[in-house]
Amino acid sequence: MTDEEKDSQDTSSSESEKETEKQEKQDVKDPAVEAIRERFSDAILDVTFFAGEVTVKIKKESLLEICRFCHDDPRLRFDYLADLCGLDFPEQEERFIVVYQLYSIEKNRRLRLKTSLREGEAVDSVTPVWGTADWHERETYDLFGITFKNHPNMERILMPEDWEGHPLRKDYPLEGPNKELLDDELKQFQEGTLKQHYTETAFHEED
Amino acid sequence: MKKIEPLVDTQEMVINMGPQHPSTHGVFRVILYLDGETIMDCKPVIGYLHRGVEKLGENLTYPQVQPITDRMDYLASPAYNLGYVGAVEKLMGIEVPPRAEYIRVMINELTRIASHLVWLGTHALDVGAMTIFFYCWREREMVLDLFERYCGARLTTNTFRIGGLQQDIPEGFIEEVQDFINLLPSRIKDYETILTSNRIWLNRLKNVGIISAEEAINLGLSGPNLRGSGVKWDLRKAEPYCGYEKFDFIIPTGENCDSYDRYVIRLEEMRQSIRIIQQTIDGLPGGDIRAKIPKVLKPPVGEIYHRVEAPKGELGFYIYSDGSTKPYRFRVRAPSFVNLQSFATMIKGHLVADVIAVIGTLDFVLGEVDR
Repeated sequence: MTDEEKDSQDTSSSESEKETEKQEKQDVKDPAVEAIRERFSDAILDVTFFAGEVTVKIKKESLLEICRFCHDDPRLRFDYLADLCGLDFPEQEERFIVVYQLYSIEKNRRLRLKTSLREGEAVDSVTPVWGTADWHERETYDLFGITFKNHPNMERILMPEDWEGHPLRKDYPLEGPNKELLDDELKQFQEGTLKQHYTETAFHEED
Repeated sequence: MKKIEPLVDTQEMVINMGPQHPSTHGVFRVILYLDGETIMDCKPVIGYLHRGVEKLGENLTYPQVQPITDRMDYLASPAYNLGYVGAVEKLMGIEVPPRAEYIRVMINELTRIASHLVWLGTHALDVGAMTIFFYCWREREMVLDLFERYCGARLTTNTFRIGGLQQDIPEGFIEEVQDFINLLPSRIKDYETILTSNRIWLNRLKNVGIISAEEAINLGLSGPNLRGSGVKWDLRKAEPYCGYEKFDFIIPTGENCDSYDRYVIRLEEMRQSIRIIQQTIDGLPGGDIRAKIPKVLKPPVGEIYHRVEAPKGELGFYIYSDGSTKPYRFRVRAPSFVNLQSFATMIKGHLVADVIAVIGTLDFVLGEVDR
């Protein structure tokens, strides 16, 4: 057994105290993790087990390769990408994490892949492997500002096109970017001095 | 023979459909690129109902998040409640008492019936059958009355609680559910009499919105839309949650991968739901309805992805807990959002009139698409 495997077992026993010993042993032998480890031993950074779910943290450089391997390998056959989303930890240097929830309909097995990146960096798009990643990646770009390399249509999906900022970042205020303005208007409204704006619409601007 | 030159030039035409179009069932806009009446390409535009549910969830405590899950798929709120409470229970390792599980399954299957009835009524209305709409609404009203009787609300129910139920079923509730499921099969038969071999219905739905099994899996379709393509996959069987392994039911699948098969499947699913409800009534155990949980919920550090079979497909909740009373990340994998993505694939090469049929067959709710 290599050192890396021992490490992973240690983390599993410390993190999932509530799980019985029997379940842990089954988890550690997860065939998907073993298959990835066999092929990409350098790319795996961490393996965790929690509540019966496996999370594999991988290097972002080999993400696309590992995804393709997970999709195509006959032992794994992760043909269904259930979900893709982002996570934000502003205090860390590699602040963003992209989470992939893989599922195999044939084998009825799940796997979670994670990869982290710094602000301003981009991660490979997995749209060539799973078509469903298209809108998920657009949403992650929209709400976190994580860009995906080689994505067919990298633009906002839920927020308006001209929106500034990425709302799901932890440093983005819940009330929106213009809190002072809103507070000001609320104060004016309570005092009864709020003026209604008259919007002029230029219908014949180009004529 | 001399070749005849065409006298007119043709050019691509761009049509904007929505956001305020009655058949889009909400605010959904689609830009269509047409050659004559054939759709060459299309671009769905969403986000009009975006309320930032995930951001809100991060700023509320675990029990406070539950009411906002109602507002995503407002036609099937209990299914969302079930997914959310299941996710938190999995995160905290809470065991739910069997009586609570049975009642949850009963309410959840009633939800599936209500959601499919709305789908059938509006889908039929969109493609030109008026009567069926009123029939479906009549039966859906009965389900909503049952919800009202159980928890006081009709649409945004907020039914379940983390660890069990808020309250036990009221007196006489079982009898009312029994009356309803005794009545429903004959009503489903009525719908079938109107639609199943109706020539207009067949012409509008057969060979429309075809998607192969490989493509459907690649695009992440789930629920009846995926089963319509012949993939026998239902989360209630594949990953049983909330005690679904105790119930006997079958997963209907289609063969032709078209809208008509998806119609047949949804009708059959309603019948299977009736079977499940009958089993919950017959085997309803006694005992507690709530597990012992702490007053302040503080799950351990960790992350889980819990998913359930909502009426529209796979509904997933990804919760990242940092050990505090609020979720660090609250992510919703909405089935409609993913299903809608395959709209462009389904509609290419079809006629403009089929847009409405395909929107209907996908059965999406904009509340959960935009979240």
